Amino acid sequence: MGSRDRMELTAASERAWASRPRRIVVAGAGVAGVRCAFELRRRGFDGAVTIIGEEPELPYDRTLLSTELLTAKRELRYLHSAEDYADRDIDLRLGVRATRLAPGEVELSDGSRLTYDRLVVCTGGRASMPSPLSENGVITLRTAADAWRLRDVLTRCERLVVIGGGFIGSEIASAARERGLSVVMVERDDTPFESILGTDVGKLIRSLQESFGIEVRCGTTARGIQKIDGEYHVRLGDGDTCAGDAVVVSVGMMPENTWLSTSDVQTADGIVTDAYCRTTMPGVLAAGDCARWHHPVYGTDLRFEHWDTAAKHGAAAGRCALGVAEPFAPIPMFWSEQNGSKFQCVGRLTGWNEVRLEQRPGAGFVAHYFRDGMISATFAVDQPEEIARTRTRLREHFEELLT
Amino acid sequence: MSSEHNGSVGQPSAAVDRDACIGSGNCVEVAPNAFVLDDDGMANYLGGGNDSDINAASSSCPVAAISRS
Repeated sequence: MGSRDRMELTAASERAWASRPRRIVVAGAGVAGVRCAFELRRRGFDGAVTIIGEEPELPYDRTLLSTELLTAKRELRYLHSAEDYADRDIDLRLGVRATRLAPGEVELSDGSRLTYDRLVVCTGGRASMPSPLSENGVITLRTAADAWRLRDVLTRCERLVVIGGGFIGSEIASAARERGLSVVMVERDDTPFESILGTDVGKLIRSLQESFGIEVRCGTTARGIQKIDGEYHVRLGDGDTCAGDAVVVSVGMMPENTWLSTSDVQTADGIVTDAYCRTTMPGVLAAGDCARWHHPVYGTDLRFEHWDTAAKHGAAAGRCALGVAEPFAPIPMFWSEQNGSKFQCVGRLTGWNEVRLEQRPGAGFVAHYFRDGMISATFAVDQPEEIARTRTRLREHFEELLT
Repeated sequence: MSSEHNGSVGQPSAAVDRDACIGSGNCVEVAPNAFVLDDDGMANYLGGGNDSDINAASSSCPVAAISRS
């Protein structure tokens, strides 16, 4: 493992990290924050545990917001019942957010203050909204409230424009098609997912999306939106315009770390941590979508926006908060559901220089990504066994490097 | 303060919703004595495992495909 795995610490901060915590505050009630709190209890921590959550709902499964919640197949799925938190003596404070950080103290949006020995920042992110697109009524999707609003719009509208053809945008487009809307999806790349999956795989995904009836407009961006008589007109970079009764902007997220700007926590597209989830401020850790951590196997700083990684990251931060010296070294994994097809990926989709694509007539496809002859990732549509095989190989490789 | 739920009396048991399963392998990782990935890359419950194994597997599942039965 490299020298970047651990923060360089002064003697004073070394002492702060070595102290035994009595009060742990978790800022953020997404999956990372909740997993963190539960892991603290699972490990027998018997001090105070408080979770701060901005949204009023009990912490829930965010992956359903762009899929089954929109098609109304499912309502919100809570991660745990209120009793589960009470049973574990986890103080869950909802409807407030952390607004300012000082050493040993967090200020909340209701004006109250909480003291901590360890603070775990799991504040996730906010949906990006480029200012030329922020016309009244244009929707972004990140929270349960956003999803309910979008679902309500989908029940009333006939034509939807989705700006951004990433996984979330594609899931929204797919859900809207399932509800019978006509859907135009605008994607910046010449082929969907080209920049991460390559052109050949991108073309296969595009034809899948077109077979669902999504009109895919690639190689152009939305430059502006105008609402005229209840109809949205989206001006595209190629000079065209597309119109709809509703517009969703799904162009990624921004890590939520602006509230830390007056603190000693260093940020750089995410909160910078070492492999042990430790930020540059003594006693403060970070995990989940908001954190950029040093991955000891990849030897580089990474930030992921994947549910499963965030969950594991939260649990790892809980262990690190208790002083367990175990670096966070997950095998990246994500999945997506689009019109009944399961997209899955395991491994890392950057730095590959060879892709081997196998198509299975009528049964999806699989693409293996290699870096200098060594498998780096597998992306598969409806081929879970291929994902399992690659995961096993990657795990062997990880174990070799970590021992 | 209990660290885990108390399950029903008797042998614990679990079921995997194969439609929901995405083969993350998390359950196999946290409870290798109770779960396995089959040739299709999907999770299978082997029987066995104690309450805390099954609870850990269930809460590790990213798609909530594991339920007690």
